[in-house]
Amino acid sequence: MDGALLGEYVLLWLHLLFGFTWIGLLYYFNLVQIPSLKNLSPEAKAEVFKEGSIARTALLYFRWAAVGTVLVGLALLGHRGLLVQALTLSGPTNLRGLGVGCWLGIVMLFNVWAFIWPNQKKVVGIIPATAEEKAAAGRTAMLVSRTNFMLSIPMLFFMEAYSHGLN
Amino acid sequence: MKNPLETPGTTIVLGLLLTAALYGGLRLTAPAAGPTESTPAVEASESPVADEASASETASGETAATDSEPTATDSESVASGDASALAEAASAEPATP
Repeated sequence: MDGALLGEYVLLWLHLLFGFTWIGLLYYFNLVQIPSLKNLSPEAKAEVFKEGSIARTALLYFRWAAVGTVLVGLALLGHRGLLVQALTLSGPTNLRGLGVGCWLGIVMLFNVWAFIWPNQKKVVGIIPATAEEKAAAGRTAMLVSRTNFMLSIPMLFFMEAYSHGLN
Repeated sequence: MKNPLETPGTTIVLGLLLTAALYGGLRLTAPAAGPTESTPAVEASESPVADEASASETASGETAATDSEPTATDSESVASGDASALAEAASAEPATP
């Protein structure tokens, strides 16, 4: 196995490891955690989000796995010499589809760091906020997280379709 | 009216609709020669299986099918894309009746 092929395998492997962690936690939040926390009292929510809790640990892995997924994905495309073609949506249909998937992933990463995490910091108490501010921040974070949940569906379709020669 | 993103079920439906819309848009905007071509995830020359298949075709041109079984040395040649080396090695082996 030559170095280029080994690099391809390692980058793809890392991309999948980060990606499964990110999207797995995104689905956990949207299908399990958010619906389950809806009916809890403010005191119970404070307990759920206290330092060292499962929810905070999940958020930590969630936001950094998002960074890892996108960075390694872009590195993988660069390694293949397809970065510019994919991001400019040029070339054959499956490569243009991969480009669409890339942009969806980039938008999702932006949403994580620009909207979800800043609002979650208020919800979990890292940034001091009143009860009303916490409620508003929680709703914003939830809606942006749901937006990412929605965007992940075509994103995964185009990522997977690329490997199988979508046309 | 309730925001459709408030429930996971309607979010999934929106995601599926978005997938169909994006795929439709991709097909509609495909270049004239584009729809039938596709880029493999891995270059053909990097795939030992693909190269082995093409090398076997070369080797079996004049010999029996059993002659085209690659040896360990042949596999290395195949992996490096040297189909002629396999053809030469295959033709040097005695033909199996």
